[in-house]
Amino acid sequence: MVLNTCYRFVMNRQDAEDLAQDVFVEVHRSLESFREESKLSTWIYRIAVTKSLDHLRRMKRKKRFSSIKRIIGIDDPAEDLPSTSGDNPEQALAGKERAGILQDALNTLPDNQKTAFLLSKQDGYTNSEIADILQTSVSAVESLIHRAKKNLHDKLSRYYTNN
Amino acid sequence: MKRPDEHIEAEIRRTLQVLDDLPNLKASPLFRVHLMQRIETSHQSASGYGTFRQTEGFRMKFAVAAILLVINISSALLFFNSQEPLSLTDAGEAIEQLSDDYSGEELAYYVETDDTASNRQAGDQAVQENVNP
Repeated sequence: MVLNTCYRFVMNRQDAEDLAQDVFVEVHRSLESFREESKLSTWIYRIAVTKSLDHLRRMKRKKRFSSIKRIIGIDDPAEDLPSTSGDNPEQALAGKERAGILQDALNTLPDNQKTAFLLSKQDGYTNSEIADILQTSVSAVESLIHRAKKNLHDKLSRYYTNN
Repeated sequence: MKRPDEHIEAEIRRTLQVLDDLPNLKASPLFRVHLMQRIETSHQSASGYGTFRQTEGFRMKFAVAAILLVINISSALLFFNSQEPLSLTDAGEAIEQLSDDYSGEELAYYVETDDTASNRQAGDQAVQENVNP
């Protein structure tokens, strides 16, 4: 569940595994400070969400830096490698492109909207559990998911209209 | 007119479908092994850092205390030395020294005698003649 939660955020198996390991290391390190105000599973998922959001922020910074590198002429060929998953290279490329577009749109959402939306998309999370993870009410979670869907739709619509 | 909109809507649906189509991952067989290694490493580094912090913290406190002590002693010594009364002979010497310092030729540049003024005027004239012969 932790691995899949991280995977929903980063959409990359290797990064998700690394993050899941980070989560369990953190859990092991901070178990003594767990105050039992929430369920242990909720606390662990909260760590997973925090780590995943941190990773996305790091990736955003890295992406910005790599665009600067591209502008000044230092290109990293590994960044442009197509995904190896998929039935054929064309489909894999199209899938990778779509995933990239979706991830860019998701990255423009505020953290709480992104988290609520991504957790709602994963099997096993009820709105009440998402509310516990985000430390908010169920109605607030419903509102966050609704706003996230609307914002994503608007951003994707703008993207496909311009391209 | 509706076609582009429909096309865009279809693209949006397909893009959002990517999230629903993400497979449920299963941890790789080496996940647990790597995790145990990382926990072991973090445990070792944490304990090492803890002892380092303890000894380092003690040294820092000791150094700061020593510096404060030295500053205190030196400021006390300075204070008591400045409290000694100035003897009359010392005061006389100091006044003499001051008057010597401020009556030197270097500081008397503003006293312009007739000789120096006339010398300067002669010099200025010579310069002007050289420029306009």
